[in-house]
Amino acid sequence: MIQFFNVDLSYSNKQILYHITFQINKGEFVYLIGPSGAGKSSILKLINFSEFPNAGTVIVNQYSSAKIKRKDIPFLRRRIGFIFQDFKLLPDRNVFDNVAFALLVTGVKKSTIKKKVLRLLTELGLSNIRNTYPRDLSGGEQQRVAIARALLNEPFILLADEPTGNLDPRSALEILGIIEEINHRGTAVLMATHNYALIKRYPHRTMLLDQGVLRSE
Amino acid sequence: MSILFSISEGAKGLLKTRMASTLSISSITLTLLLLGIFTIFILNLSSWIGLIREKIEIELFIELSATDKDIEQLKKQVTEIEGIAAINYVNKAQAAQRFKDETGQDIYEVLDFNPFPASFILTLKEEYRIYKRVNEIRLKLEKLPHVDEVVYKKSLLETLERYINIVFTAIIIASLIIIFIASVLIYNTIRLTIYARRDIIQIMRLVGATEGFIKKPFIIEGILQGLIGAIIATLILYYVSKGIELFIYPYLVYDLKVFAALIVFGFIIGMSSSYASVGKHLRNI
Repeated sequence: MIQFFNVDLSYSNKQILYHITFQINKGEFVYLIGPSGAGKSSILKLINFSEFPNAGTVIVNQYSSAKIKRKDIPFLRRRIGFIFQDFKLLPDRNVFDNVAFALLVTGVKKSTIKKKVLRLLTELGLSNIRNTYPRDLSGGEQQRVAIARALLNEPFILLADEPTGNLDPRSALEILGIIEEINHRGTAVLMATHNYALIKRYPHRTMLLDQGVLRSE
Repeated sequence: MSILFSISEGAKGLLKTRMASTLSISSITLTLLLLGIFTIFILNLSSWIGLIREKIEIELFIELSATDKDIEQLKKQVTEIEGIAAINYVNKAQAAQRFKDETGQDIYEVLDFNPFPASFILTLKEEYRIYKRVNEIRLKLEKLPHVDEVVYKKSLLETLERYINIVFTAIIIASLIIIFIASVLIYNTIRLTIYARRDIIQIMRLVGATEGFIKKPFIIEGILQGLIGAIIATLILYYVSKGIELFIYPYLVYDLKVFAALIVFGFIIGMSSSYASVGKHLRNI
């Protein structure tokens, strides 16, 4: 499903990743750990084609970084959920609109959007705060909203970039529980983190990235 | 659905960069106002020039020795020359009378014979009332038999055309400069909007919005700036023209087509500048 073959990446002459090779299978849960600046986020960005390798190939489903056309990228991204440490919610939209945004910008009918969003908000225990704005939510709630937005298009993989980084330990555990549940339902997960305590709580295959090199699998 | 989203986002962009948008809209208003004034000025100038050109006539003096038959023959030949709209024959007696009308002097009080030659006064078709063509006709006329002299208001025509060219060139250059300034201002406002809204752009990309979809609100914002500026300019120009016509100069020529053209032009400036800006700056987000 996701394959990296000898991937090199550099930004303005600074090399970030060296000869990265790995594979993630359908429905798999994989942790990507390593110190800050090791290149974890870059690997996630390569998967949704926000970045392209300088050498090597990234393959995501039927798309290869060497051949994918620009116009195909948005359609691939609709099948990739992405959550971040800073949630990336729109401050001028309430919970419902933040989640609905993922379908709104892909041209889905309003009635379909409403049905899907309300169902998902209920599943994630967010329906009672659907009219609330992000500034009035706790970190855990904001991350749940971001997860709801990421799941709306029924992705085959959820990319999580330090999703618990801004959360207190209880909220972090709660969020990881939700991600675990999502994985149980068949969505693959690649989670970049350095919260080793959580990894122990929900153990999965773990890849260690150190100074741009994949040390162990 | 998608277009409603784009329009609402475009309007939000307009409000988000209020200062820059106000500057853009003001510059469009000013640009179109000036273009409108120039156009109305050109319309009126053309109408005055038309009036002056109507007075452009050629007078062909016939040799004193020409007989009636010669004159008849000459008239036929003159008629065949392209560009002549009408021929008016002035005989010797009428020429003497005209001299008396113009100077108050009776020629027979000074001389005991009439020295004035008969002539043809030629009116030209509208499209021939320009210096180059008048001159061509003059040369043709001079070659005809029994023609003594061909005269017309050469210096008037030359001066008129020289100044028209200067005025038109100046107006075109000034118009291009102000269009350029307005375009640059819109271009920059859209650039500011793009940076002010980079979060939403990043999220749109993240959830799989196409680039075309992401671009639309910015182009709509540019169009809105263009249209708002154009409507303000049109209203000002319309009421000022109406006022001038009513109270100052009732002959003012203005055309509703000018106002419609200004609105279309505002739309085009807004769209093209924002399109160029989006094409360049969205890539950097």
